[in-house]
Amino acid sequence: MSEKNPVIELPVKITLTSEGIEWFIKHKRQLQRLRMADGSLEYGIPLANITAASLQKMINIDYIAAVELARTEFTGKRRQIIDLTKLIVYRILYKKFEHETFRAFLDSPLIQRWNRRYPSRIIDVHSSFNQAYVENLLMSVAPQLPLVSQDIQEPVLLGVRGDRSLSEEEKQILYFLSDRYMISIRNIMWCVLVKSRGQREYNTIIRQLQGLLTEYLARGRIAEYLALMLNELLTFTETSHYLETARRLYPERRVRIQDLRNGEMRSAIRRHMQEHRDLLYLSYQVSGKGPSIGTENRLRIAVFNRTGEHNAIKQRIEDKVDRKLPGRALADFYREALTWEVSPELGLNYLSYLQEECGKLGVSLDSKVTQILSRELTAVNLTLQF
Amino acid sequence: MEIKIRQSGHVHILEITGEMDFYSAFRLREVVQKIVAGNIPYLVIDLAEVPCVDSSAVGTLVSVHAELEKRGRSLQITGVRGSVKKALELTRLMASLPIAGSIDEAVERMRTESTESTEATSPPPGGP
Repeated sequence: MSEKNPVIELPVKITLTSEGIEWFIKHKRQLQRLRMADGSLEYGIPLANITAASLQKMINIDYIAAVELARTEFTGKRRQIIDLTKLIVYRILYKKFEHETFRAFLDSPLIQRWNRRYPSRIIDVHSSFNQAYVENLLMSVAPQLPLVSQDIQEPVLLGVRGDRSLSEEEKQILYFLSDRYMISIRNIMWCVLVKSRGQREYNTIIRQLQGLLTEYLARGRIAEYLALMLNELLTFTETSHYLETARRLYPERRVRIQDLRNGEMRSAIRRHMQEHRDLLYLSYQVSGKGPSIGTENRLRIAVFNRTGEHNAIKQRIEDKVDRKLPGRALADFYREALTWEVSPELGLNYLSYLQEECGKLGVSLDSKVTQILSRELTAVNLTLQF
Repeated sequence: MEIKIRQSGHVHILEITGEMDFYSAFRLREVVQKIVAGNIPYLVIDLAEVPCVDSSAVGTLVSVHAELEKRGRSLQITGVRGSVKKALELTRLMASLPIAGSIDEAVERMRTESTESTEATSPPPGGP
């Protein structure tokens, strides 16, 4: 699980939002103009590896616009891709949980009663709280905080503990995630919740928070499934690209996709790609505080590939998305296939499964294949709105 | 990806280490085909040291299972956890594959199966 792996060993380019750029300039940190996969030039920093905590912190304070990786192949790096994807998705979920819990808090009878009683000190979405004051208040109620946290978490975690479909490892991950969600709850909420513990309105808001916690723990599955889908997309684009390159390099041979299992052939392809700076790109566009409506809690992922088969890739992806598979296991497709020979294209069926899971958990997923003619690139784009 | 073979009684255990993907999963099938040719009745595939699998690896597990079933051999898959489990859940294969909680549990299941099949083929007591 990503959270246990503090460093992800993948060289990345990180581009910054205007807030991030401002912070870097103010602190006299050097910025570079980075050429991105789509050809654009952005301010950012290239890193040899990523520290999980600092990446999540930078996403949380809206300093990161995008994270991009460029490689000749992603094989052997799947674990790191899974970790990176989960880190980014969890951070978006923590952030959204913070907003949703605060909205529930503002709409709760607790705050409505407060607002009726103190019309001159109304608490609403526009209220700003003196940070030092809230922190002092929080210190004064610190001994009661675990009690409120327990009130929220206990019934939810009891359900997790009793779920026989989960392994001990999965339960530990959910306990950990639950704690992380608790940390996302705003300080002012903790203060008010402690002060109102035992009141009737308190129980109402606690039940709402329990509902949100259950919902967001379930949404964690999206991070896992998205990471798997992404690896399938990477394998598909990588093998399609390798096949094209191999056919150019070995015109005398009728290269088939199975021939790519030959390590020597793959090394020759990789060398050729390195010499020609012909790379595969994976880009995560993390939404910031941008002015446009609807960009918040949005994650856009793109896999770029230099291929002459744009239309064929577009067709294959669209076919898989259109193919509704409710209740069907991947085994059905193997049974339908005439041979047991497996093809990387089969992994594109994950798109349909992922879409179904997203639908169940209230997350929208859109997939699109586009072309960047100036760079001769085909991009497979996945957009998730959490 | 590496495959190590060891034996526990008449159960053969294939311990796989490393990422199992399009480039490597076919080797598992080759090993299983050799094992099938060697008339080995019980096989365990242990994935505890596999950090992740792609759809080709999942397909290989499905095809190996189907092939062994067709030949009347018994298969158990163990060490299904983390991303490997998630891949099987997403593709709804958890229920279609013979998954055991541990190697010990898999071996025990096969031992029971072996005893039951011996009893079934033995003449009933008091018979001719």
